[in-house]
Amino acid sequence: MAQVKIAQVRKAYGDNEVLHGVDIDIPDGSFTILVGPSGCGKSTLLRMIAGLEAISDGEVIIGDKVVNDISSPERDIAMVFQNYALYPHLTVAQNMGFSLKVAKVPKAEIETKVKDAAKMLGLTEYLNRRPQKLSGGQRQRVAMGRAIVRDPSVFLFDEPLSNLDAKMRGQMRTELRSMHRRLGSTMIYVTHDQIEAMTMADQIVVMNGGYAQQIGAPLDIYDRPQNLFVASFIGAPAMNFLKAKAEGGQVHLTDGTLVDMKVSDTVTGDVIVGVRPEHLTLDPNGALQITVDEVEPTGSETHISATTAAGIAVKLVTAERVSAESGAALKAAYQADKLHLFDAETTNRIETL
Amino acid sequence: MSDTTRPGSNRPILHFGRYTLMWALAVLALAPLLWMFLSSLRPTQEMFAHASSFSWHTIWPETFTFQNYTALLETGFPRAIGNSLFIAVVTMVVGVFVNAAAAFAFATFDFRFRGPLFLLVLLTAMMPFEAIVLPLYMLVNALGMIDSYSALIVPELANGFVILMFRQFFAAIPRELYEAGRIDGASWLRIFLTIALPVSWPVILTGSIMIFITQFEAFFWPLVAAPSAELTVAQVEIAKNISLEGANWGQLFSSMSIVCVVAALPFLVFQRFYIRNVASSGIK
Repeated sequence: MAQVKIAQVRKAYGDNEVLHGVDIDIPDGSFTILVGPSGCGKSTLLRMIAGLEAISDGEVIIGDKVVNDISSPERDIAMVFQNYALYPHLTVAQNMGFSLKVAKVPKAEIETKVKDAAKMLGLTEYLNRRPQKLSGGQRQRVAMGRAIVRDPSVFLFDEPLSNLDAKMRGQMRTELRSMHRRLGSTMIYVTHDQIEAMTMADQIVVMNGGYAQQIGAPLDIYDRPQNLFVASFIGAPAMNFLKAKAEGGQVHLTDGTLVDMKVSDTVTGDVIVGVRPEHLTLDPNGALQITVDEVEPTGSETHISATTAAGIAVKLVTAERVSAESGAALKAAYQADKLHLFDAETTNRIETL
Repeated sequence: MSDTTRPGSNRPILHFGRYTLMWALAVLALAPLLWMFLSSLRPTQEMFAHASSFSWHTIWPETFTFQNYTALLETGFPRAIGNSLFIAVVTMVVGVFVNAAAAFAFATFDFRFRGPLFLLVLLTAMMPFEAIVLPLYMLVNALGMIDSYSALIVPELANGFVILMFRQFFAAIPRELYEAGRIDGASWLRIFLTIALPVSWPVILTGSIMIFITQFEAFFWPLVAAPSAELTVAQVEIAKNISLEGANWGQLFSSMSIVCVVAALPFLVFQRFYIRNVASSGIK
C-alpha cells in the first residue's frame, strides 16, 4: 500500500506535448479514477505511473520514492490491461503465478496464493485451462487475479471493463468495488465511461486535452463542476446549457427571461446557465417554453428531448410517465437552487450568491 | 464436406477434366524424381539400355539391385551426409535463436538507426550469395576459420529473411503482452525466452525448416570454404560422381535419392504441426 503523488507531470512526443503539467494526490488506499474522452491523456498518465512511458518532466512518486528512473519491474505495481494481455501459452494458474515465479517465490507459496486469489474470483475450476478457453469476463478475472497475487502497493487498471458486455460490466463494477474494500489497496483506474467513474471512485480526476480539469469526490464534481467541460462530461444525459447575459447581479436568458439566480455585481457579459435534465421538470406554470421532439421511456424514467423558444436543444428526465406527442408545446420549470453558471468566455464556473 | 456439395460434382465432365489436369501436373512434377529413384535401383550396364527407344523399361528397371547403395558405403558419402546433417542442425538451432533475438529487438525496442539497420538486414536477404562470396571468403579467411565447421556454420547463422519473418510476428503480438511481463517483474531477456518465443512456435518451425534446407542443400559455399575431405558435405560429394572422365550415374542417383529423403524428413514431421496450427488459428 502506498500513496501516489503526481507532480507537474508532462509528456511530450517530440514537439507535441500531450500532458501539460498534471498534479494529482492519490491518498493511500483510495480508489481514484481518471476519466475523460479518448485522447485526453489519461491512459498515457497511467502508463507513466506504470513505467511503460517515459516521463518528460515532473515527478511521479509512489510511497515516498520518486520513480521516474525506476523501471516497471521495480515499481511494485500491478496492472490490468484493457485487452487483458494474458499469456496465451500458460494456464490460468501459471498466468496468475507468473510474477511470483519471476520473483523466485517458493512453489508451495505460489500455489497457495494463486489458489486463494482464484477462490476469491471464482476461478478455482478454471485453474488448468488456457485463456482462450475462457469467456471475456473470466479472462478479466484472471487478469485481476494476476494483479492480486502480487499484493502490490498500487493497482493500475486501464479501461479493464470496456471489452465486456453491459451486463457483465455492471457486475464487474460491483466486484471491483468490493475487491477494493477487501484489499484496501491504492487503486488507479482509467476509463472513458463516466458512469464507471461515478459509481466506483472515491476520487475522480476529470481529464481533457492533457489537463486535469477537476479532482474531487464523485458527487462533489457532479454537484459543483468547475467548468463547462466537466459539467458536460459528467452526468448522463448531459447537462443542458442555456445562453444568457449577466448584468447588475441578474441573469437573463437570450429571450429576455429573468433567471432565478443572484450573482455578484462584478459578473457581466455573456454567461451560460447549466441545468441538469433531472432538475428540469414539466410544469404548466414553468418559465421555459419548450417544443417536444422525442419522448423516450426507459421504464424507470422518461427522457424528453425538446427545443426551447430560443432554439436550444434541451433534455428533461422525469420519474413520471409522460405521454406527449412530438411537436407538443409545453412548459418547463427548473429548480432554482440546482442551477449552475459558467463564464461563456473562460468556461469557468461562476459562484452564485 | 459431403460429395454432393463439392462444386463440379454434379457436372461429371468438368469434374473429370479437373482431376485429369491435376494428375497431369502432379506426374509432371514427380516423374523426374520417380525416375531418379527407380534408376538408382538399376545395375550400371542397364542404365542407358532403354534410353534411345521409349519402352516400359525406360521407366521400370529390368532387374533391381541395391549395388548403387551398398557401393556408396565405400565412398565419402556417409561421412558427407553426417557432415551436412551436423552443419544443418547446428545452424538451425543456433540460427533460430539468434535470428529470433535480433527480430525481437527490432520489433520491441526503439533504438537509434533501427530503420537503417533493419534495411541492411533485409538487404542481406536480397543479395545473391554469388555477389558476396569473394568478400565473405576473405573475411572468413582473415578470421582463420577457412576449412573448418565454423566456416560452414557461422556465416549462415544470421538469416535476413528469417529475421524479417520473426520481426513481423513479434510486432503483431499485442504490446501489452510484453508490458504485462514487465509489470510482472520480468527482465526483457526473460520476456523474450518465456513469453515471446513460446508463442511464436509456428515461426520457429518455419524458420527452422528454412535454415535446415538451405544448409542441407548448400553446395557452392562448402565447395569454396571447406576443401578438406573430412569436411565435404553431401551436395559436394554427390557432384564428385560427375567428372571429366565420365559420370557414375548409379551412385549419382542413389546418393541423390538419399539426400532428397533426408531433406524432406523434417518437413514431413513438422507438417502435421503446421496443419494443426492453421486449423486452430481460426478459432482464436
